[in-house]
Amino acid sequence: MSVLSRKEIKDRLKKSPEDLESIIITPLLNEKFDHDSIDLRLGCYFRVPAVTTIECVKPYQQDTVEHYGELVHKPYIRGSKINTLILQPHHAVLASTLEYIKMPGDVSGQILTKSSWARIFISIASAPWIHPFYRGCLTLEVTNLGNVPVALPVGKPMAQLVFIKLEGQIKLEKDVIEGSYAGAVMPEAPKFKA
Amino acid sequence: MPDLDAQVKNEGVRILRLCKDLSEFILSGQARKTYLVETEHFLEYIKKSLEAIDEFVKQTITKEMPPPLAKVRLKGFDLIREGLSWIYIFVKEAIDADTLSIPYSLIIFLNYVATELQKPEKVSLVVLGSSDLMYYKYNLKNLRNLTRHIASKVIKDYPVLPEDIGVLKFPYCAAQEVLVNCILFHEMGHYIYEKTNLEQQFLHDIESNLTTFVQDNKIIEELKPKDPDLAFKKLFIYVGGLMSSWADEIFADIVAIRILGPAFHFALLVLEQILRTDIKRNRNFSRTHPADDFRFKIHAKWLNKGIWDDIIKDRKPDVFDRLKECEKLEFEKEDFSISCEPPLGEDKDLKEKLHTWMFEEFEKMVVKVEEEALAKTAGQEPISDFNKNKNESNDSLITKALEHGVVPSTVYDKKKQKRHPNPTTILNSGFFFYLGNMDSLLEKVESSDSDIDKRMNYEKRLNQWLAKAIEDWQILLMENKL
Repeated sequence: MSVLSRKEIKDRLKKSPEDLESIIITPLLNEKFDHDSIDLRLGCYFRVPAVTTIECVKPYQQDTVEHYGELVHKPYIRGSKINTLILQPHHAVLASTLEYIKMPGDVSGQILTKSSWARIFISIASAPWIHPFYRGCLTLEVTNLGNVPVALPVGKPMAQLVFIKLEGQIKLEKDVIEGSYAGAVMPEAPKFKA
Repeated sequence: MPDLDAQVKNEGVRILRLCKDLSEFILSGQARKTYLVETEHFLEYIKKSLEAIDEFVKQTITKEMPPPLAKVRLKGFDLIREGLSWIYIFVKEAIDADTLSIPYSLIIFLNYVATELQKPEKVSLVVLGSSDLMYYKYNLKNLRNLTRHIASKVIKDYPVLPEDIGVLKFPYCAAQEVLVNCILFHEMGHYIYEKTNLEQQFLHDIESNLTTFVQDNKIIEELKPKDPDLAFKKLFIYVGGLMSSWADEIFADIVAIRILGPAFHFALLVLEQILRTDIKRNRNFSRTHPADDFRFKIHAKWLNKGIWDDIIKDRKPDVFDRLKECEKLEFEKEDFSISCEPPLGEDKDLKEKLHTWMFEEFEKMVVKVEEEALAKTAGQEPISDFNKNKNESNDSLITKALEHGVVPSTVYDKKKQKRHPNPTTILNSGFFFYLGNMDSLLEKVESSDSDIDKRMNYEKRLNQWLAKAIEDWQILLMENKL
C-alpha cells in the first residue's frame, strides 16, 4: 500500500475521464497541494437532524429515514461575507465537499479532518473510506465534540483527501459506476438495503 | 346615519391584523430558509409596503375625523385592500421560492445574463413556483400602476414597485430540472421586451395602418355598425392585441436562442412532450402565441445565423427534421392561419381579408423585432465557447465527462490544458447528451434497480451534475479563476 504523491496526483488530474487511472476534482480552487494529499472545502448543502414527529428512526423503513435529515442550503459567498452553518456542541450534521471527485480504479481514498479543525474539536468523517471508481461530492459527517458552538464556513478547506494505491497487480478493465450514493452532489438521505 | 368613524376604526384594525400576519409570515420564512438576492429584494419591498400601510392606518384610526374625511379614508382603504390582495398572493409564492425550491444555479445565471443585456440598468428577476404546468412572465404593469396610485392618492410614502423587479413563473415541481427550465430564458426575453419601446411603436403603427386598411376596404361601411368609432376601436383591440403579443413572443424566442442556442429549442420540445400526449403540427396563431411551427421557423433561422446549424446538422436528425420543414413554411403559401374570431360579424371573406393583411403586417414587424433582439444581444457569442478548438471542442470534453458520471465544470484537453466551459456550453452539451448519449452512461451503472428506475435516477443525476457545473462556473467566476 502506498500513498500517491503530489506529482502523481497532479499527473492523474490531467488525464481524460476515459483513463481508468484518472483523478477528477472539480472545481479546484487552489492547486497548492500538500506532499501527499489535497485539501477539500466545505460545500453549500447540509442535512440537519430535523425536529420530527417520527418516534424512532428505523433504518430499514425508508419513510422514517428519508426526511430525518432536513436539507439546508448555504450559498457560496466570497470574501468577508462567508456563509456559515452554526454547529452546536455535541451536535452533528451531514455536509459534503464543494469538490466533486472521481476516484481512479487502482486507488482508494481516505478523508481526514484538517488538523486545525480537529484542534477545535470538529470531526468531519466517521465513514472515511472511499472506494476505487467512486464519484460524487464526498459526504462529511461533521460533529462538534467541543463545548461551544462552532461556525462552519462554506467554501473553506476542512478536509484532506489521501489517495492510497492498491497493492498487487490490478487489472483495470472498465469504468464502473456503482453504489447508492454514486454521483451525488449533496449529502443524501441514507438508503439501507436489506 | 352610519357611524363612519367607527367603520374606519373597524376596517383599519382588520387591515392592521392582515399586515401583521403577512409580516410574521415573511419573517418566519426568512428565519428558516435561504433566498436569492433578487427574492430578498422583492420581499424587502413587500415588507416596506406593509410597514407604510401599517403606519398610515395606525395614524388614521387614532384620530377622530369628521364624516367627509372618514368617507375619503374608507375609499383609501379600498385601494389599500386592493394592494394587499396582490401582496397576499406574492408573499406565499416568494416565501416558498427559497434556494432549494427553485433551479438555483440556473436562475443566478439568468440574472447574470439579464444584467449584462440591460446594462447599465439594474435587473432583479424573481423566479417563483407556479401551480400551473407552464412558464410565464408575470405582468407587473397593473401592480406597478396600483402602487403609484396608492402613493399619489392615499399614502404619501408608499413605495412604488421598483422598475428593476420582474417576476417569472415556472412549474413548482420542476425545481430540480435544469434542462427544461431553459425556457426561463424565453420569459427573461419578455422582461427585456417590456423594457424596450417596441410595443408602443407597434401599437402606434398598427393603429395607423389599420385605419388605412379599413378605409381602403370600406370595412366599417360594410359592417354598418351603430357606432363606427366603437367598431374601429374593437377591431384595433383585436388586431393590436394579437399582433403585439405575437411580436413579444418572437422577440423572447430570439433572445433565448441567441443566449442558449439549441438548448432553448430542445427545452420547448420537451415541454411540448410533457404537456401533450399527441403532438400535432401547430400552424394556428392564437390570441397570445404565434403558431409553434412559425416559432420553429424563426428558431431555425436564428440557429443558422448563430452558426449553430453547422453543429446541429449531424446530430439526432429526428430532433431537427421539424425545424427543417418549418423553415420552408410561408405566410404567402397560406401555411398559417389565425384561430381567433375578429369582431367582424359573420362575414367570412372580410375575416379572411383581415387575417391575410395581419400576416403581411406581422412579417414587417418580425423584421423590426429581429433587429431589436439582435441589438439587445449584441456581443453574445456563446458558440465560441461551445466549439472552441474544433478538434477537441468543449462539447466533446463535456460529453466525455458526462459519460463517466462526472460534473463537467473542469475538463482537460489532450494537451493537458484545463478548461472551464461556460453555462451555455454546459446546457447545450447536456441537452445533446440527454437526447443521444444517456445509454453510454447507463452502461457504466451497475445497479439492481430496474432499467426504468436506473434511467430515471440518472436523468435526475444528469440534471444535478449540470446544475453543479453551472454553480461551479459561478464560483470560479467569483474567485477570478476562469
